[in-house]
Amino acid sequence: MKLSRQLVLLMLGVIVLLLIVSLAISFNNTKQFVENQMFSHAQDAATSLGMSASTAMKDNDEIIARTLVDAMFHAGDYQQVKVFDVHNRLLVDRSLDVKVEGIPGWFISLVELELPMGEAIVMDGWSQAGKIQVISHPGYAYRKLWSALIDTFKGFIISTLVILLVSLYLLKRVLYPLTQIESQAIAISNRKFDPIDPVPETIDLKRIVEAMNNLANKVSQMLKDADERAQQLRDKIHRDEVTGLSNRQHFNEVLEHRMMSSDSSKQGVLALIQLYEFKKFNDEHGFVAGDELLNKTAQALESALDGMQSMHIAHLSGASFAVFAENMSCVNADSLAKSLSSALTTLSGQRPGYMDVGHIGIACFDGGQTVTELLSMADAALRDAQIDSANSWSVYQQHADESLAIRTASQWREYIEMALDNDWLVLIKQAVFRTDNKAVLHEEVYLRLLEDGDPLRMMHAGMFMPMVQSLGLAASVDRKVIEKALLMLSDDHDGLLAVNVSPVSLDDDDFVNWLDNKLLETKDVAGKLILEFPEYGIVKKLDRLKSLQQRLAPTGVQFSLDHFGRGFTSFAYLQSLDLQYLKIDGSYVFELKADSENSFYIRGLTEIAHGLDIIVIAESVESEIVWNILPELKVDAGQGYYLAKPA
Amino acid sequence: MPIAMLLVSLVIAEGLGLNDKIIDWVGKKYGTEAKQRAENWRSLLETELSLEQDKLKRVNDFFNEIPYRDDFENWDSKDYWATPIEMIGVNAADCEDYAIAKYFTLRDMGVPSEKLRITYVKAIEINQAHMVLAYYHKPDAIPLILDNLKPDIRSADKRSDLVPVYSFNAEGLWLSVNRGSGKRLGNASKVKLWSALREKMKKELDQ
Repeated sequence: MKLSRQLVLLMLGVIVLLLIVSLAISFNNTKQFVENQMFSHAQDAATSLGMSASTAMKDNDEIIARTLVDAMFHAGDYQQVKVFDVHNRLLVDRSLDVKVEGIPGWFISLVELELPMGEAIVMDGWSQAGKIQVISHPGYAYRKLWSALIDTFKGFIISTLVILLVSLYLLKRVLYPLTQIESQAIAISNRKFDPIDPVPETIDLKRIVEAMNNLANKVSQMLKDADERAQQLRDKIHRDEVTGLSNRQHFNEVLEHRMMSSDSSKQGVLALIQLYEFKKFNDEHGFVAGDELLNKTAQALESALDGMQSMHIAHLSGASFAVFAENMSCVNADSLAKSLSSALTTLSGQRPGYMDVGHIGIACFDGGQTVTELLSMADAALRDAQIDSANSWSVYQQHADESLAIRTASQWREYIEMALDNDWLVLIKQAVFRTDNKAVLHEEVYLRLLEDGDPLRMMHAGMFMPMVQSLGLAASVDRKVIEKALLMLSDDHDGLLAVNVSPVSLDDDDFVNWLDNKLLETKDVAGKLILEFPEYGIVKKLDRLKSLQQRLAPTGVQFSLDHFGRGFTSFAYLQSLDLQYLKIDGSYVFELKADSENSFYIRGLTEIAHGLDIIVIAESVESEIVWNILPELKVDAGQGYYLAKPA
Repeated sequence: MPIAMLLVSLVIAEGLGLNDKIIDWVGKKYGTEAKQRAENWRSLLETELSLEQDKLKRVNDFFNEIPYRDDFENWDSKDYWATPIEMIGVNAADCEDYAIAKYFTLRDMGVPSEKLRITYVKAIEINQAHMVLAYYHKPDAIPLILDNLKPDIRSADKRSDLVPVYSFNAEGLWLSVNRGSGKRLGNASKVKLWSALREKMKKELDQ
């Protein structure tokens, strides 16, 4: 039973007890009062009748005396009038039955009124002629008692109701913090750690609330600490201490994954950047100045590439930096080189006396090279540039690959719009398997473009999505993909489907409205849809994502982040999102070894995610070795060519 | 005195309950002469007399010793009914004080209530409303009159100076006159009468 109900019942009990006691007391008082009144009335009547009769007796007129008695009896409210002579013989007896109208019979039979008798003497001169006994009629007394009882009862019911209402209100106010504590406890189990504010004034409740606030604080702090430790571990493994960019090891992993993984787009551009005579600069100006130059270089490269999709910048060693432009066509290598080169020239002020800041060597990846081969190609190009001229660049020349149609931006727009109109966009699915029983957790759908509608010429999303995004067509494509996925779900699809959504689409209010309506329309299957966002694109739009999550909450749609770990962002935001899945970027998984630093990182990440009730999935599981390591790292599920190819 | 005994004495006591303590009080409040009068009163109460005639005479004589004084000068109140203790204490009385004191003393000495009546009369010689105690040895008898105007007890038919107006059973009358704050004392029982009287006497002595 609720505490408030118990208190109310207790109070009600006390009030009813009070009611009974005070009813009894007031009833008894009234009863005594009316009995006294009845006695007074009877005694007064007896006395006055005795006096009148005595006067009559003086004249020896017994008839008049009897008439007086009758007159008195008929005019007044008496139950009985008796006259006795001096020898106690009954001379006159006038009596009425006790009949009271308007009062329930049970009340009269229950309440026994004492009927007091008034007595007076009838004198005949000095002699006593007899006596008169009078009993008042109890009707008035009963009525008085009854109405007093009813009035008291009414008054009590009213005041009881008032007291109850007031105390219910007060109780509710006093006990409100209990409700708050309850919701806080629920919130804590949902990883929300807001304190209760204001703290209630009732001392006991205040203590509980303070303890709860403390607890919420502690748990939140513990989670934050765990986040930080995992972050530090990741940074130690993957980040260069001076510049904060990826280090050589991480960059190699990224290259390995992007180039070798089966689901990569098989195209990209690698640029190696080397500062000119950095060792000499270091010797002349010292390490501090050298480190500062490296930092400035990193910043210049980052700002040159800002806004471009899928760029990986690394500080490989000493004077060497590298950029890998994933999915970039070789056609754009020159423009990439130009922007990098102009970034370098902004640094010339940092090195007085040196016109030459550094050189850039570029190599294109077309799916045919290994990582080592590509690096050597870029290295050869770099040497060309170094002997060429100050701040120059060079692109490694290979036989030109004409297999891909080269399109200008406006040609791309036309082509993509044609693809949308002609429904050349198709979805293929790849299953995600649980690590414990290899059951299918859900399937992720990937977008492919059928070139000229030819089902045999499927274009990888990596080849056209960068264009789609830069042309502002992302929302249109996302709509198409979501529509198709929902159709698949309505079409008796077993299990859940994850679709990739472009972060830029979140900025499109029309798209968000459309999505909300669409999901509400298809509410029976919306709960089986997972919206997946890439981590590196979404961290800058967390507010948009949060408001989208709130808005779509009624539809039951789920949320996932993929390519997690590609950027070096903090984990703290995970707490503020309502995520069901988190997919670890393939660069951590692709060549995962047991007891490696990456496996420690994954282990830490899964612990944090599990603390937030998030299911962790490994991307790019392409070997049995990796698949077998995952359960030890508490990874819940995996996807990749080893498990199932997209189809 | 243990409380239990006190309670028992209160419940069963019927009578004036005159004791050393009260007499000491009277001495303290009204002086040694008053105390002597109270002692005399007690010895009168304790006198064993078998004949009611004798009781009447002794009581009538005892109280007629106390000089008459009007209510008005005595008690600053026109119609004040003193208790016997006050009357003995201040050594002055009004006509109703005589009748009441005689009534209570006789009752205490064992004369039944049915034989005693307080009678309102008109005293012709002084042309005043007056009050006497009447004694009926049987219900239809001509009563004997105990009066302070004529100190000896006479039969009513020998009292042509008095015109009877009306008689009361003294008990109900006394309770009625002394009702506190307008509240009647209810159906007068004997115990109630005596306890009310004792209570009033105690109050008077405490003042």
